[in-house]
Amino acid sequence: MTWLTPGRACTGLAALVLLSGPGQAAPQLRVEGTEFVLEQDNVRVLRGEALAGAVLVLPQGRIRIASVAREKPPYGSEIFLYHFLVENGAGSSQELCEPDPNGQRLGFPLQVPGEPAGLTCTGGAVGKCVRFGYQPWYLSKEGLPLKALHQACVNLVTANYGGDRGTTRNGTPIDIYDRFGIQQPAYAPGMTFEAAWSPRGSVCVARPRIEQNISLDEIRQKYPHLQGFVGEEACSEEKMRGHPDALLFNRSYPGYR
Amino acid sequence: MIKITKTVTAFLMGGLALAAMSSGATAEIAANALTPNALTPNALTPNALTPNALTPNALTPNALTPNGQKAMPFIDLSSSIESVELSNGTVVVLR
Repeated sequence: MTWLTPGRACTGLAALVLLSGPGQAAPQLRVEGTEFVLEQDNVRVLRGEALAGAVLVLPQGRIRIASVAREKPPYGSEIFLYHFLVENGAGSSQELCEPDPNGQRLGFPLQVPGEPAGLTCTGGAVGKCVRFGYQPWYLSKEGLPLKALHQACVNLVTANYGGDRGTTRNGTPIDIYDRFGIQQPAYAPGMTFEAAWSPRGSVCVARPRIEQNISLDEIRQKYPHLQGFVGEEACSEEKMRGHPDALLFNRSYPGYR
Repeated sequence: MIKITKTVTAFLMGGLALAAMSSGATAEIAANALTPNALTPNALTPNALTPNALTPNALTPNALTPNGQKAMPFIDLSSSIESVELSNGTVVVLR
C-alpha cells in the first residue's frame, strides 16, 4: 500500500459538494465494461472523456484521471484507456501504472461478472487479455465464452500451467491465438507449439516456456491431471484443436532464457 | 515486426482491487453496455492490429518473477470510493 499517500478529504473551500436530496437518486460511480460512469443525479451523467481531470477520492488516497482515450479491440466493445496519477500530499503525483511494452502507462476499471470491480494496468496480463479481445463482461452474439477465454488468456500469458502459479519471465515473447479466431497465429519463425490452455491452466504442455523455471518432469509431478498430456508427442496443436477444454494456444521460442 | 506482430510479452496482472465499493459507488454493468456488436469471429482479419503487437523487450516491474511472485504489489482498495472531484471543482460525494 505504499503507493498511496493518505488522502485529503476535499480540495478546498471553493468546492461544491453535491449530496443527494429527497427524491433524488444518490450519486453513483459505476463501471460499464472499462468505462467509469458517474451519475450525479437522475439527469446529469458524466462518462468517458468527460471525466478527464477528475479525482477519485479513496480512504487511502487520491487518483487523478489525467486523460482518457479509446481503443477498438479485435473483438468486443470499445476499451477506455485511462492515464491514472496518484496524487501525493505535497501537490506532486506519481504514475499508478508501470509502463506497458509500448511504454505507455495506462489502465482501466474492470468489472468481471461475479467478482469485485478493480483497476488494472495495460502492462499486466489481465489488462492485456482484455485488449486482445477477451472481454470477460462482454456478451457475444455468437455465444463465445469470453470470461473463460479471458481467464485462459491470463494463464497463458503468465505460463501458469497448473493454475496455481505463473512461471514466465518478463519480456518473454509468445504468440497467442484461440480456437475462435479472435487472435490468430503469427507463426513467427523459430517459434514452436508450447501449450493449449483452459481457464484452469494448461490442457497440455509440449514444452515449458522457461525451462529454468519449470521442467517437463516437474510439470508431470506437480500436475497429475496432465499425465498423458505432457511432451511434444502428446501435445500438439492438431491434437488439441479437438479437445473441448482447449480454448487458447500459444507458440514460443524453445530454449528461451 | 513481420510475424512478431502476434508476439506478446508475458506480464502479470497489474491490477488494483476496488472491492466492496459502497452502495453509492457500486460497480454495475448497465444492460446497454452488454449489447453485442455485429462482429463475428470470421470477420476478423488475421492481420488486425491488436495490442499483442508488442515488443518483447519492455521490462516492467509488474511481471512475474521467475518464482511466480508478483513484483508489482496488488493493491487492495477494499474500501469504497468516497467521492469524485470534478475538474470544475465540483465534489460528488458517493456516500
